[in-house]
Amino acid sequence: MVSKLLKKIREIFGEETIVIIVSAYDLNEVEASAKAAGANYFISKPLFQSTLFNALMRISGNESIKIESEKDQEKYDFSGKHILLAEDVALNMEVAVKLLQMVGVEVTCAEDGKQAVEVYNKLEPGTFDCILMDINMPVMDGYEATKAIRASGRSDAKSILIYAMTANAFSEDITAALDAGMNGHIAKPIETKVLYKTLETAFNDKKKQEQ
Amino acid sequence: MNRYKLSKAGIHVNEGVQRFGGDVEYYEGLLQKFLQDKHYSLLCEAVAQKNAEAAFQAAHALKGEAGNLSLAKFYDDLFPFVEELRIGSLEHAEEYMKQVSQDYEDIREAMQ
Repeated sequence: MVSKLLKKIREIFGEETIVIIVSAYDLNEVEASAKAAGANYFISKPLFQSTLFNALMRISGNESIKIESEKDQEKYDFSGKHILLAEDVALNMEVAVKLLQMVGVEVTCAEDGKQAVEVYNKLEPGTFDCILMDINMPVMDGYEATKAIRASGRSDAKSILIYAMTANAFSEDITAALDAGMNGHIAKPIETKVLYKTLETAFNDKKKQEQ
Repeated sequence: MNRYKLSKAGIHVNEGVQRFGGDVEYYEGLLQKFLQDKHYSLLCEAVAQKNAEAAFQAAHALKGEAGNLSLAKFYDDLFPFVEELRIGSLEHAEEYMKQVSQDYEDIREAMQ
């Protein structure tokens, strides 16, 4: 079937045309026969942007020119922003750090609320643009840590942005977060669009207030 | 990484990969780390010792990981268990553990 199709494609478009087979079948089973029939490249489904990009890069001999599309320009860029992240579960910490670094954020990590308060107190006021705080943490939870930061008497104690990051998305938890002095709540599992949009809005609002 | 097997194990692979900007290798690395993570064995131990508080901490951590890695079935099955443990109850722990353990084994097998 594939070889018949490829033969026809070669007849019409010639040998110069690059043919990429995209198939949901297991690569090992189909790749050899597809290549023998004259396909240049094989990609297994589902087709991701990165897979297609890598395939095209390989075929073109890694020669590419980056063209900024409209969507690229819309991408979030928080370069220059520094966030203090408090999260006790290592894997969840790694995920949050990765998602923040993907949009240029510099991240400092704390493994519980107490550590977050210590890091905040140790560094110059204004070091962090925002604190993302898990709620359920050992030693000191996110509510207590937020209260301690707000009561620290430092110059940015009242103004620093603090957001709860927790799976406890019940309304009483959101109320408790606000009562503890947090600016808002980002639900877990982290949805990148929600995270980035919340940060962008928060940074913009703060900038407006400061003007 | 066999996407078909992972899907059968209740993992939303596309969603997981998309979360990390389409970086398949990174996502796969996280799945491997998840299998080496201590919280599942901590949960098993805590339930065996009838320690609801320790079981809550472990189950809550696992649920967070499951959400971040799009382990959809595991997440859904952990959800009611976490809520029961949150109020200090182990009433249905045995049933929940049976389901959660099955999910975990399915994920482990799918990753082999």
